[in-house]
Amino acid sequence: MEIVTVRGLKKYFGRGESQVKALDGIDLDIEKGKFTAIIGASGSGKTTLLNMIGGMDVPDEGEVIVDGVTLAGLKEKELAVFRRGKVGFVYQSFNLVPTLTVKENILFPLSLAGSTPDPVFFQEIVDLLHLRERLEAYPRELSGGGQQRVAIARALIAKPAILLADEPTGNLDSKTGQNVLGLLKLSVETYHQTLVMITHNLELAQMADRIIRIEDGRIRA
Amino acid sequence: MLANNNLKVCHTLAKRDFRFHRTKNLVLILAVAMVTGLYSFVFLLGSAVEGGFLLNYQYLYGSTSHILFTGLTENQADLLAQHANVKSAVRLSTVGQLSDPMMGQRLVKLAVTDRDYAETVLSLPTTGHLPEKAGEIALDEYTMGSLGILYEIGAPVTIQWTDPQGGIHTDTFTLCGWWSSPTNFSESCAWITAETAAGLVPGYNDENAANLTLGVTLHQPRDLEEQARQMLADQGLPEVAYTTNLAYNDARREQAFRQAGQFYAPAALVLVCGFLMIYSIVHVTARQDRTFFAGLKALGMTPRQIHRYLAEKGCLVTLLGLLPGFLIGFLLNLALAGRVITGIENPAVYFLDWPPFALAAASTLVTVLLAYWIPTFRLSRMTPSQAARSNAPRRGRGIGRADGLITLPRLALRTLGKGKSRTALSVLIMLLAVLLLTSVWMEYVSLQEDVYLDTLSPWDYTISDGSAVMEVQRYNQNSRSITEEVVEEIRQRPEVTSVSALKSREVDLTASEELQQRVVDYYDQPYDETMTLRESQAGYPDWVAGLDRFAQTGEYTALVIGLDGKYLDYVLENCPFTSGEFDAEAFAKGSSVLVGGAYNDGISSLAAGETLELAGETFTVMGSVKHDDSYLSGSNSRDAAFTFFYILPLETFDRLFPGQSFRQMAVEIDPSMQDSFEEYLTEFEQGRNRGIGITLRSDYQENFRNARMNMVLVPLIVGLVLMSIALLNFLNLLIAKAISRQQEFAVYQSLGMTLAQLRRLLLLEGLYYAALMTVVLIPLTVLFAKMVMPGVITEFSWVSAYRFTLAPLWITMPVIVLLAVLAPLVCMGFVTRGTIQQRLRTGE
Amino acid sequence: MRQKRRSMTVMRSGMILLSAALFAGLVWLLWRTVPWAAVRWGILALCAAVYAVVGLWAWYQRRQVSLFADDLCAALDALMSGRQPEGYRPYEDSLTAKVQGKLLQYFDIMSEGKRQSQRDKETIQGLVSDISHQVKTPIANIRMFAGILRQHQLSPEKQAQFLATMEGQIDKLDFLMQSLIKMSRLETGTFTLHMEEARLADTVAQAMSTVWARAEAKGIALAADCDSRITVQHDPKWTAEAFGNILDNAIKYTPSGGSVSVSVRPWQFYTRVDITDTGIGIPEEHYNDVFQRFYRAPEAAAQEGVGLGLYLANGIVTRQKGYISVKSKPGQGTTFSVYLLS
Repeated sequence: MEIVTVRGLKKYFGRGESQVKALDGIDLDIEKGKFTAIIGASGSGKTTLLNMIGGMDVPDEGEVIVDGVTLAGLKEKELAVFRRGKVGFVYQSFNLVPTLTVKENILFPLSLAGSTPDPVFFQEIVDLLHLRERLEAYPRELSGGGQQRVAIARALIAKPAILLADEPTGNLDSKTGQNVLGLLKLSVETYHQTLVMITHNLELAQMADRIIRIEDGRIRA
Repeated sequence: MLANNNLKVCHTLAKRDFRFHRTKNLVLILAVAMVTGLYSFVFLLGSAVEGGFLLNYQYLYGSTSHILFTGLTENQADLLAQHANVKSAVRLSTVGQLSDPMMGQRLVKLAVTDRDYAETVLSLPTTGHLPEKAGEIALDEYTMGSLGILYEIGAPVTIQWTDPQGGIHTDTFTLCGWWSSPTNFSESCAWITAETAAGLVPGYNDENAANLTLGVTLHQPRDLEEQARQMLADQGLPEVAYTTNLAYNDARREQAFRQAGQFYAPAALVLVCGFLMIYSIVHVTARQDRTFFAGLKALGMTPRQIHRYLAEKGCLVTLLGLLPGFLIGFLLNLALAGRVITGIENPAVYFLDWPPFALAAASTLVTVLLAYWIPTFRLSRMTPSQAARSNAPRRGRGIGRADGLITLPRLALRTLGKGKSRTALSVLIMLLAVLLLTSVWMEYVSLQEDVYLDTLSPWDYTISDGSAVMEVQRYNQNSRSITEEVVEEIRQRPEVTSVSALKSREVDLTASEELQQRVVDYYDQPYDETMTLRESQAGYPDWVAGLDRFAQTGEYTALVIGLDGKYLDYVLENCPFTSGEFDAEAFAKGSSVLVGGAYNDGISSLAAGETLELAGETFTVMGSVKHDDSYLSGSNSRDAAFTFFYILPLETFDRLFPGQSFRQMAVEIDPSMQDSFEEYLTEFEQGRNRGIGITLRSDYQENFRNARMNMVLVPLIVGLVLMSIALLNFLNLLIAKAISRQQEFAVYQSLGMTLAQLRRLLLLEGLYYAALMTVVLIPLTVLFAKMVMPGVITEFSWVSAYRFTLAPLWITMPVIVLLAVLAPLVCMGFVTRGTIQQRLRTGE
Repeated sequence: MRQKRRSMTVMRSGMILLSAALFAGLVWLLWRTVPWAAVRWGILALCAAVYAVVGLWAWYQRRQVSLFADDLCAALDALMSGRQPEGYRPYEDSLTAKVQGKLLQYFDIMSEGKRQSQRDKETIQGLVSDISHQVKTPIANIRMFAGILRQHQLSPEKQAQFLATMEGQIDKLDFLMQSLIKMSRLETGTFTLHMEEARLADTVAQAMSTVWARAEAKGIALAADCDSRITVQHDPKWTAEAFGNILDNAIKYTPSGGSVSVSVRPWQFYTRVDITDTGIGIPEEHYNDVFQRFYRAPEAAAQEGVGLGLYLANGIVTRQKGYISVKSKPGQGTTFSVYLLS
């Protein structure tokens, strides 16, 4: 059963001679509960594709259907709700809110949705990601791996159906990267989520159920 | 739809923002305090000016009561005081009226002490106390001056007074207190106790004695005339005389608001300048903010939440900036209101009220929210990726040489192209500041002192009767302060080159039916699209009453003026003829009269060729003029508010009204002997014991200079603040440009750029910015000064004349160039601190 | 609950009484102090209007809540009958959408669980047929040898040989039974892990002892590099079983003369145990398959086994919140990395 369907997706940047075809006709189905890795050289359009799936950008052509809803039909207001409820994002640059404590950062998607957190689930995530001692710290007081764990916890807290990770280990050394990825995989398995991860590390990609290669905005088999 | 309550997180974010960006928010709070300060200053000053006008009207009226009913019996007063419209009422029972010849026509009532009433007419003793024992009396300083009473508690006071029946008495009292009040120029009360009164006039408070004055304060001081009539009708009272307070006259209020308008108007400037100030501060971190918002949006923040977050930040900044802002505004007002509003001690405190502060707070909030919202309005509708992309530098056309080599000037030029919107903002603010200052300065220099002096003080000195020194004083034609001897004495002074004299007298006359019809028709003609000439005078109820009396009965109080020399010249020069023409010989012969009507086109009085009977003699009307009566000192009686001016030679006047003293005289002197003459005048004035008033030309000069400053004061302050913001913003732009590229410079240096070359690069950049400023500022300012300003100046004032000047620009330009050169040099030290290696790493 | 309900009733009557009292007070005040009848009535009308607006507001709120409840019930009804809820706007910023979203998520997880158990049932059926197949051969062999033994007079040597063969078949049955029991306990979740902070070296040693003989027999060098100070939160018995299975697998696919080594490296959150062999290797496309039940590589058809070892190992490690990854070069060897949460 597909949770994400992408049809004829195109996205161009710039115009005229300097036009860059970031995505040039992508068709893709991502199955529910599977771990998909997207690999490709930098500038091949991986991040653009992930952004499209996460409702962070609008395509020039084609459509993205997530869990039965076409994203093109949503207003920015609804897209915001989509982003905070349906998908969890883990970025290479962590993208934590520097003015909030670790705990507040983790609970941020829930705060945005105006929901009350499930304390048991929160404890579970915090324990899983070894963040219990650092809950009152601010992000800048944490190491890169620590910040990424916070970001993962934040992506998980709303129990989103899809986790989108854009080189989550890109800014981390390979040992920490393995650690973080292990946690990510573990949580995805524990909570029956779909994980789509961009990486350029083949070794990491091999942990995925499926590997998609992107070159020049197209999928290579 | 049950809305989702998810705005709490915005509050947390806003609060945290304050904890994390202390400096930025402190600067913002300072800026908000500045904006609030300017707003509250403008509104406080405006309301003080408006209040000043209204207070002036109140002084003119002489009481703070809304309506004064006079000549009431006890019963009538009770009925009126019980009327539902009345909030409170004060009453005064008059025993008689002081009739000492020295009093002239000043109306001083001998009245029974009533503290409440005394309060409404601002006549409570400031020294001593109100009478408590029999035989005590309290007086105002003017009356004391006229009667020559010692300023000493317990001093004997002997006065002559007339009772309502006309009987004249002379009694002696003991002085127990006195006061000086601006309401007492024309009317005052002499307070005695009830028992004294009973002793003087037994039965003064009989039920049927119609000697009560009732001052009522209404619940709703609107349409006073209407209400007064309504009250009388409701209580079934016959025609009772009443007057209404000028300060509550709608036309007067509107007039006061219009007058204060030029003080309120700069609020619009504050809005623009405050917006730019806060916007430019918020804009400094625009890039980081946009990245931050893109991140928040990626996490699912809705546009509504972003707006809420910004609003909370704005509100918090405003809240923290309000109190210091109020203080700034109040202090500015305290320092400057005294200059603008004269005649009241500490007007800033006297007119202090809450609405200007509330208005300032609301305006500040709007300004701040606009500055926060407008830049992010577009942002909030974008998707996170679009928002993040809008941050990325756009690739412009290269300005490199064809061979790919790049020179320092080209490199510098290229940085100019980066951050265009920021540069444009900086230039825009600078342009606005320069334009504002230019316009203020041009307005300032356009005000012509000689034009003003020629009109308002056509002669060096005016010596006027003591009852006609000030505009609000009512000239007392029975006064004997300036006699023939005085005129002769002054004429004999060696310094004096010419003396002209003027007398005036109010005469009750009845017009012919023809004249009556002509005048009524005249005032019924349209003044503009909305009203007739008559309606345009609604702010002057006395005038309206006079015209009504004239229209109904033909009776009016004419002002007969006898004049010579400079006064005649003045009239001939400044009062255009509407009929007939001046014939000096015929005028000197004394059988002709000049008639002064309204200062408006068309004949509003007797016309040339008609005849007029004055004191039994018949005069031929030589011509009618549009009469500009600004040369007359003091004002006339209420009855003569609507009047015709009959101008005669002084000799003829003396023939008609022998024994009348002078109202005023105009003295011209040899300028080289000004000091000795003024010394003489001072001595002369003191010797005359307050009987005369002397107006110096230099007083007018000072007045003019004050007024000139006041006219441009508020926009000048706003302009200076805007200019300092513009300069700070420019400096900020230069410094930010240099410091934010610390790493870039390290790269250049690692590639072999020497320090000297780097300095040159920074200098060149600064100079390019200065050049950009010059290129925009000079032509636009010149254009503005040449095209826009002439129209503005024409509208500005009747004494202004257009003069081309660019002084503010010439002062600003060197400062800009200086900043452009100095800022990069100062930054050099910071930018090149540490090794290249360290600097290359700091950016990571 | 009863208490609460009673206090609500009290509050309601209190509110009615209070508003009546306030109104009476207002009327009294008006009639006492305001002399104009028109004004009195005017103020009264205004107050009544304000009251009405407040009432309307309360009604509006009530209506909103009941609409909310209706929406929820409709969504529940739809889900119960297996339809998508009608008029469901998932990304509206409203409470209804939020709660409906949660409901759908719950429903999803439930039906996912149902599908999972359906799949499990199918695999167990497959398992049964597989096992019956696997069991058939040894039983048939045993029966055959038993028949031979009973019917023919055989020399004692022959007898001993047949009995040894039968024993071998019984061992195979026993192994199958053991695997089945373990697997079924794993599947049904009845086996419990006894997590304890224990020395990993001991666990590794125990695992190696089970395969020592076989390695020696095959001439494969076994080596372990493990700091005895490393302790990990794990279940030693089951973890040893997992390691043993992986080692067994490694030895099985490593030709004679090869080597199998175990190395342990402690990381921040995981302790990584690498089990490296110099065997035939696994092609990349089968990385995931090796952990499936009864998967046997085509190259390994000759080897005996049931294809349960790695499946079990993976299950045990995952239960302990760890994971296993594979890295292999065909022909050169394979490394199984076991990541145990430290």
